[in-house]
Amino acid sequence: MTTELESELPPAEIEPIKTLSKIWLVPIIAALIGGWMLYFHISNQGPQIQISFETGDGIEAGKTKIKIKNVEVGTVESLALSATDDGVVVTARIQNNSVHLLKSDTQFWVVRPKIGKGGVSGLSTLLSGAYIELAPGSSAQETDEFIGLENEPVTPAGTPGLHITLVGGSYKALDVGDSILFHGIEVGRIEYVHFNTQERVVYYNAFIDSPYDSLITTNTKFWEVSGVEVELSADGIRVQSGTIETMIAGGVTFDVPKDMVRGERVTEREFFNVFPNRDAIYENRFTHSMQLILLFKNSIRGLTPGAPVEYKGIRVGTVTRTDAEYDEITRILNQDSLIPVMISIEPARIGFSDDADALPIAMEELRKLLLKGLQGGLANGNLLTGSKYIELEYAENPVTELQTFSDYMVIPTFDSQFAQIVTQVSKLLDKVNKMPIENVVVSAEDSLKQMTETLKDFEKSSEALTILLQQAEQNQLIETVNSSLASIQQLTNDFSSGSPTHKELEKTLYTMKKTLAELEPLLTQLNQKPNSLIFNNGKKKDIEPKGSKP
Amino acid sequence: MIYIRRTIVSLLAATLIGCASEAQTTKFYSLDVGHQLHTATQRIKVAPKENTINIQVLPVEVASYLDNGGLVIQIGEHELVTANYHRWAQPLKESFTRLLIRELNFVSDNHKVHYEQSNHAYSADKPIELLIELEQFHATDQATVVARGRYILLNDSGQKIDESHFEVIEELSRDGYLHSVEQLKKAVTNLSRLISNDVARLLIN
Repeated sequence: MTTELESELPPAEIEPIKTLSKIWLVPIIAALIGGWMLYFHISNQGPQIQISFETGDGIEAGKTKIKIKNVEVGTVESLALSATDDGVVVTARIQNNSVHLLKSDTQFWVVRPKIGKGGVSGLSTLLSGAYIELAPGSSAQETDEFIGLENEPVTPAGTPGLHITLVGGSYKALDVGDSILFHGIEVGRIEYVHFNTQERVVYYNAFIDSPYDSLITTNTKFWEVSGVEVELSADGIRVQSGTIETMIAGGVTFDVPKDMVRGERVTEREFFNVFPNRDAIYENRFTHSMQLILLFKNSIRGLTPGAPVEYKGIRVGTVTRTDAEYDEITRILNQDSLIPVMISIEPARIGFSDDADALPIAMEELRKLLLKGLQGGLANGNLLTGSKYIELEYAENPVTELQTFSDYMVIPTFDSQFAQIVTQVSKLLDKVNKMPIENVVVSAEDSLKQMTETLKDFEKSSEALTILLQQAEQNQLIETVNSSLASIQQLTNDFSSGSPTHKELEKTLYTMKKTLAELEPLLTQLNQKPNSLIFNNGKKKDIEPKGSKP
Repeated sequence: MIYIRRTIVSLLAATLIGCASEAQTTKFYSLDVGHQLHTATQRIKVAPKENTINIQVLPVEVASYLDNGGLVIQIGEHELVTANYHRWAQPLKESFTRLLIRELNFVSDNHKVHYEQSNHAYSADKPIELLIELEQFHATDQATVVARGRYILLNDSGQKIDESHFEVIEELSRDGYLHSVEQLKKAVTNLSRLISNDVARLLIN
């Protein structure tokens, strides 16, 4: 069989290929498509940038995204240590359509879960992973190398508003992120805190958002609003507190004092002092003052710098020094040594203007008042804390000549309230000692004896009177009872058997019985036959007894 | 029209005649008045003699059907009929008590016992008391009258000395309630003799 088949088929003719096989179209087309895709990808990918961070915590090459307002604009491609090994350099590629965001003041920071005084943030990154947030800048210059921030900037770059600097005291009272309030509304925040070691003062860089930046003027005063302020006055207790956020995190507020003009608007960074509270604004806003000295021979415990100097309850000055470091004082422990207290009196508080020209005029006026008897003394400010202040008042015996101490004019002093009380008590005790108390006691004893005897006699008389009254009451009671019994007896006799009333009653009852007896047949008849009064048919006669038949 | 008027008038007249009936009058009877059963010379002493026994007769207690005011007649063995037009002039218990006391005093005149009506007044020296309970006191359809009940004698301490039942029957010789009352009165007299003899037996002898 096989031989037959081989004889039927013609022999194959082998010819060499002259053209390319069509099968090669497939790989060629694939290569073209791949090449086009590569070109498209390369031509459309955005620029590569480098961002320096202190740490690469949370950043992963190929995974960590770069976002702006939660819109992805880039991806981290690689992560490497910096050349100086003190940080990391993140290489990222930004999308082509976001190249315009890469300005020289563009800010980058890593968003991670964070818990702070302002609350909890970045919780979404627990699931999705950390990402890098981009805040575009407003500079005209473009760049591809950036220094990343470790924390989210308090005020993103390009935010409209005003940058100012607040000058605090020697203690840090505010922190980055603390709110700046105006009438309870948050209008800004603290951006940066710096302690000047030379001046020993804390500086706070702050930012006021637009449009509230127009509220900042040359006369604007800032004060802290952390915590709760309690004021006890004749009107009662006044409690003032900030928001819960400021109570927890701290904050500062501002306003123009009521007695001052608004002033000119501040448009560039200016320096403003931060007062500890609102009242401090009014207390420390005068710039010119007179320095004077008071010399005390008693203890000044409880008096501290900053304590007020008052005249009839009105503040006229402030205690500035309570130490004894003066050249004139060499032996502080001497028995007759005096304790100096320096005070400052502002002319503006006593009717003069707050300028240098008013100082000598005010000083001369004060000198005249001191010669008229104006003196100063310690007064108790708070019984609970024991704090004291300086009280100015007129004495009956004014001094004839004023003294100076360490080139300062000395205000004559009077004893403190406690010392005055001690003096008065001593005088009172002296008077008591001089009183003839023994004679008085003897006289009092005699009087008491007489009074005791008189009381005993009175008691006897009272008992006799009581007995007499009781007897009288009893007699009266007996008479009343007898009278009542007689009445009852009379009544009983009237109704007793044999009396006319009784007989009349019996007669009446008998008549009633008789009448009822007569009515009984009729009633029986009506009971048996109600219509028998009209129809008397068939009325039966009584059955009568029959006698025996003979 | 005239005939109708006459017919109406006739009918009215007949109605009036029919409504008219002879009014039956009520007769009253008294137990303790009437012919004296005793001669005028036999006076009943009201005041007790010396050394006589005082017995106070308490008001007789009668059965309720006897106290309705009407005279009663027994028909058959159990039926009792109260007359409507034959009534006691006085309450039966009062007239019975008065009559009994009178008869007792008459009968016991020789037995040194004095009977009087109890006034229920408080007395330290409480006398002997006689209590009568009357169960039957009426006529019957057998031409008799019957007085039946019991009497109780109480000492001065209120304790029962004697208790006896009595039944006195008198025959009726004539018809009518009048003769019945006379015979009932006679029954009371016989009862008083019974009581008097009994008292004499207990207290005197």
